[in-house]
Amino acid sequence: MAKNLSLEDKNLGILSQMTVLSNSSYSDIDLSFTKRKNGDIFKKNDAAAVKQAVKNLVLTNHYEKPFNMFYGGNVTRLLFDLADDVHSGEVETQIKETIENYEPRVIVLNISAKIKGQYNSCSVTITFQVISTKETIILETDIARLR
Amino acid sequence: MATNITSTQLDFDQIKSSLKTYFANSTEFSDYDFETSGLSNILDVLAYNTHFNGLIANLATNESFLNTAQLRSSVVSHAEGLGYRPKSRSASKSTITGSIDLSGVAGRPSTTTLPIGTSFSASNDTSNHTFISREAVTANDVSGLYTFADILVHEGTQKTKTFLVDSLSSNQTYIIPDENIDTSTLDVKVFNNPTTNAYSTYTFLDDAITVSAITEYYDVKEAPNGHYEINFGDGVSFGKSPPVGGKILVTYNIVSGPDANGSTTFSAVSTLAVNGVTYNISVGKQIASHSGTNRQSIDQIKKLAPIQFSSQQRLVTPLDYKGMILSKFPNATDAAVWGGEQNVPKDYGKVYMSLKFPEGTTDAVKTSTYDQIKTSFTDNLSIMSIDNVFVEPQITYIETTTEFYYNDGLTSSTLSTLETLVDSYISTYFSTNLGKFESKFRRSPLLTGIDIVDRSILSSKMDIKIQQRFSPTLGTSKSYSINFPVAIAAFNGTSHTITSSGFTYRGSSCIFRNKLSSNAIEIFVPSTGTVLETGIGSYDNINGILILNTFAPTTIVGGLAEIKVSAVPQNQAVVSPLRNYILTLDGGASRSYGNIEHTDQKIVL
Repeated sequence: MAKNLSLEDKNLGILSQMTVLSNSSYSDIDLSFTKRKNGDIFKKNDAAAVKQAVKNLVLTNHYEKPFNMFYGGNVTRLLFDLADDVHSGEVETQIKETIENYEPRVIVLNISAKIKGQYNSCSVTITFQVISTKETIILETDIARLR
Repeated sequence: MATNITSTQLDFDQIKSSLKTYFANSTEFSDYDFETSGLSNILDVLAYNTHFNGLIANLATNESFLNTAQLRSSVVSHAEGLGYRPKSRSASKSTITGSIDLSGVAGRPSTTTLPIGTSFSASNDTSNHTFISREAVTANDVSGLYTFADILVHEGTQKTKTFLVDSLSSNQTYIIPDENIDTSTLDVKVFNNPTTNAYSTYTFLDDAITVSAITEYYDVKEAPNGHYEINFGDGVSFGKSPPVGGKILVTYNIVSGPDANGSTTFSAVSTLAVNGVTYNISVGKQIASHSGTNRQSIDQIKKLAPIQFSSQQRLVTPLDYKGMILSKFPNATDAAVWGGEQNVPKDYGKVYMSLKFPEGTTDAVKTSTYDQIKTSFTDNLSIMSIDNVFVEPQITYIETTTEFYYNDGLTSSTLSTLETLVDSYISTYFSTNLGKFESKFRRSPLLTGIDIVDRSILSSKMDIKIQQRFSPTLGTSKSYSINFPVAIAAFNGTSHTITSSGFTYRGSSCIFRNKLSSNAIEIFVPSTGTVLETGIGSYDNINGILILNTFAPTTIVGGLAEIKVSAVPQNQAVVSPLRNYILTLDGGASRSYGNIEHTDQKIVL
């Protein structure tokens, strides 16, 4: 539903045209870029969109986002440290702070990181709640070096 | 609903904001505003790409115009399009006298010649430099002493490059891979083949008045990488082309520019051979080296190229002359040019020129520059029957009397420290903003600056006088006309508009000044408070002219060579000089006074 401001208020610039959604659903592009039959790519909606966003955030390293150098979980950086030096608590804290800083749509309920030194990888389980729907989501991901 | 994406911004955030605005008007995706969303990541890529392309386009466009170009190569290229050739470095120069002593040597020649390229060394405050003679000087035998007078030496190291003319292409560019050459020292010889000793010396294109298919000229210009390249004519219509299979020998000097200025204590590095015996050269009279300059800066090129273009290699308007002088004679730091009809007194059919040279420039250098301007340019490029007149810059001194009020609770500085700070600021202001032709003195910005010299200064005011100086013929009664650059204040009944410095007249130490409520000039004895003589002259306040009749001082107080004449200008807020007047500060006659402002004291401004 589009609402228009009065003539007197048109000097509010781009705010003169406001889009107000009838519900608070989230919709995002599916980063797998899988094609539908009609040629469009798939969308992610609601909790799935938020889950994709959280995963995307955690797996982004510093200096990857243009003009926003400290954006991202910067977790994969830890894979290049000696396993002895990295504590799971350090990973958990880093992920928690990142989500709290950059993802306002969720509340982090729990984060569990398990470092598997012999495989040079780390398993992360993030439990969070989507604020608008109160839905609890569990995101599990493995972070491993490619080489 | 807007469907177009605004794409006029260059900034990454603004571009991304435009993309978000686009999505804000769409219901398809709602997560565009969350930085973590996939859509935001795609917008990052799009915005970064647009930002990068925009910057490249902006830079490319900027570099396409002379006024906005930032790269030297672009500025030089645009200037070249306007027919302007940026000046290279120029060597520091000096004139010295050398001699060799062959007293008692049998069979010595009646004359001997000091060849071109004789080396001398000299040093200034920072480093040692090598100077090379630029012309052969011959000396006569005077009882065995051969004195080489007026040896013109240029700082620098001579280099030689040899090019073979490629048989495959007759129109080539020859590169000199050095940024520090003085192009005025270029000597280009063309040989028909690599083994012959016969050659033709080609001349610089700028020195050519007409060019035909057989004219032997070369052109030198700055390459995009800052090096220099030499070109020749095409051999068909625009100058002679070096013969295929021939050889080109280029000699030039690598110079230090202004770094070598002020070099003194010359001594000869080379020796001179006479009848097979070498003799040491003694250096006698010498002057400090001068006129070395860096190659023209980007700002100078941007300023001068359009001026020269507008002149179209002709000398018609004052700006044509000014552009020619400043571009061709880098040893002149500033120039003022005006027509005789604007001169005081009017002098129709003449062009007046006044050149400002760096401190220490000798009269010989100035005269040489005037001669070059006349013979090389004005005789060929100016309108017929127009004569040139060169006049020295007229220095007009400004005396400032500054009074400032300050709060002593806001500073730990003493009154004298504050006064010194204010004096220092005034001196810096003058050296930064004035001292050039057409530079105006404006009191308001100076006072604004004084107010922020120290946080304790609350307000300030300033009275100014303009001052001209003249050298009277002592002991002889003569008339003098002293011109001020602006109108002088009218006389009044309370203070003297015109006052002079001290001189001796009829045995008394006197000054002259205007009578109160009159423009007549009287001679006054300060020690007795008496007027010695009245009616020795008068002043025309509108035209700023002071006339002294039958003025015959015997000495000038303090043994000075000049009498200072101070006048209150009609407008103290701005002094806007015309023609060849240059404003500068008379620090000795200027003074600052500070007053403590108490809370119960009212300031009267």
